Amino acid sequence: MNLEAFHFIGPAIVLLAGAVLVLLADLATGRRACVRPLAMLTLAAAALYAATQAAADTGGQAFGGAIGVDRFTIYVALLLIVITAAVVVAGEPGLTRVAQRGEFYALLLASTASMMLLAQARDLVAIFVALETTSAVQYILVGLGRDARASEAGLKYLLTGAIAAAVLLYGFVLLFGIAGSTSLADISRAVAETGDETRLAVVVAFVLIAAGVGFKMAIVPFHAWVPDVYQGAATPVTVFLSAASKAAGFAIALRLFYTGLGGGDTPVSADWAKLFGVLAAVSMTLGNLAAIQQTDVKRLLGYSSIAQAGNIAVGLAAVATGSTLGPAAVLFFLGTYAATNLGAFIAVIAVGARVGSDELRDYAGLLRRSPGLAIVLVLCLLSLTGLPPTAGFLAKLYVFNSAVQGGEQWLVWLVVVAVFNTALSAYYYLRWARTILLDEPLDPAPFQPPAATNAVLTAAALGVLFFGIVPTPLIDAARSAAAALA
Amino acid sequence: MLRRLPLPAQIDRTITLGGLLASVVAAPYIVVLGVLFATGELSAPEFVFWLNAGLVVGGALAAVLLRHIVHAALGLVGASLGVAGIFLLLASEFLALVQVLVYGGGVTILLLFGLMMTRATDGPIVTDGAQKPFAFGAGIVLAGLFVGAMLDAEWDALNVTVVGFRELGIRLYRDFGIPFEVASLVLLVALIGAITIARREPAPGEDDSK
Repeated sequence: MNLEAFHFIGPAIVLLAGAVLVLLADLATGRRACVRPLAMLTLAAAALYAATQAAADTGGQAFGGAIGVDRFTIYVALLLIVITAAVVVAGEPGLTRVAQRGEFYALLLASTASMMLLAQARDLVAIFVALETTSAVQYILVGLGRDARASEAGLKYLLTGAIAAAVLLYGFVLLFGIAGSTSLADISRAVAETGDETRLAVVVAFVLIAAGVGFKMAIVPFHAWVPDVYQGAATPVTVFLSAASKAAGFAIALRLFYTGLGGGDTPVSADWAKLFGVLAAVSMTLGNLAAIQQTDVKRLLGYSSIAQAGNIAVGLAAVATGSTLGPAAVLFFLGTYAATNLGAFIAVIAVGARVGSDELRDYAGLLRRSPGLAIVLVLCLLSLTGLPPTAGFLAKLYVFNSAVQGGEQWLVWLVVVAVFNTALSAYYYLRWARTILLDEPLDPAPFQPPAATNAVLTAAALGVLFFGIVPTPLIDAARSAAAALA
Repeated sequence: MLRRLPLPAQIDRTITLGGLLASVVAAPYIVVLGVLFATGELSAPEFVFWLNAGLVVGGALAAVLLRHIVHAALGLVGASLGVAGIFLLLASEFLALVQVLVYGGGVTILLLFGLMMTRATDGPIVTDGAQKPFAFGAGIVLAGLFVGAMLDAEWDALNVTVVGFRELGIRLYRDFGIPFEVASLVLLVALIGAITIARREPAPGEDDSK
């Protein structure tokens, strides 16, 4: 073990050190005001560190091959840091129900660090421990808050999460039995040589693993926790879950299935690709059908995130073709989805802080009350629907294209289902947009969100537009990240 | 479906009945194993394995089926001890020790302390829900898949090697250093979380330090 090993996990170490500092600062000064800038500073330092790694094209493995760093991990790390930074900067108005700010920010940083380690892990033990750390922090974050709703959401999340962890572990144990090793590289070799006699064990293993990580990705039928948890948690926590946790879930799914189960060229890859195809189709359809009936915007966005997870899973199914087009599309989608979802949720925080409720009807005539806010929110809704010139359009196009390129009949049908679902989702996204733009406001008093919220909203809107018009930088980054996976 | 065992409230009668019931179920099992062992059908390690496997399954069933939560916890101890025995059979003495100390001892004692501290009623607690038949079905399907997969696969030949504490330490702290450290992070955040959530919320205006 040498110092380089610690350089590889540097950004995560910075975040964890920052988390401890935040706690100490909270303890020493007893003043809330100092913790948020400290958290921002920590995130900036970690981002800088990750950017240096990216610039130097750092790559390699450490700790006996349990941890690695490459373009994929750096892409995920930067994405997670940006999401967390947006939550820290603009989340404050949504935290009225959370008293313990020091603990909140410290846990947020710890969760980001463990998700970064999760993306870097290349060993089943390391993956499981990192995943459990991520989950444990999130159970606590969801449960923070003064009211019974947060406690209920936290408990529900904990119980379903514990079952998901157990199922994932069953899958890991089977893989370990087949390969005799916990290293993903060894497992990939063993799975590539799978004969008919171990086939069932491999299939059961990846079905169980898909269930375990499907919980993190929030795809049907592992989604039952989403609406209650999204509604019950403080909105900044919901933002964090919907953007960061989902990104980490897909990152680890890519790592496990692409690196561990051998991408497109093992005897079982066609099987698990079809599994993700079915999960994707069911997620999209059920998510959209449920979202149509919601009147609470946080529940609506919860079901919408389930449907979007289905869209992203189309990219996972496309892995069956063996090209890196599928993973690249998934990573690109995650990037644009983060910008879009952050914009929408932070607008929801701003409106919720003003109105005190998250009901759809309270958005009536928002355009006349707070034009800037309304325009950003509508833009994000257009991007969630997948209409040009937003980033959401290109993300969907890219994911669907990766599936069609495979040339397999069932992938084409999957894309047909996905396109049909896009039309379905347009109904509730655009209905919300119409409420904002055209309806008569219940309370015509204009209002201005805080400056920090405005800054993040502007950044999100610019991101959504920029990557919708000039996607090349992000697509190139996603491509080289996907190439590092193989 | 299995009816819950109707245990009376009095401890002495409970113990008598439980003991009787356990011996009625366990005695034939042990007798059959003993006969098989005596006639040479089972080798000594196999005999020990089936004995421990019976303890694990019986303990797990007791933990799930018994209504009295303290009895269920004791069933858990039995299951942990059985697992420890199987670890010993695999020459993993360290794991066996940890299993007894941490699971058989620590975790269960903590569980019992937790029950006492929170003044949980030590009478029967109804934990049924509408999902019970569904959960039962899902459990059966899952178990069938596992058994099928395990019987179907050709596992590598089992080679039992004794791993000394020294090698184990080297593996644990060098090769698995990162998972080990991350596990300590779990403990840290769990501690912070437990305190944060359990702490009485100060009313608005009240000093936080009181």
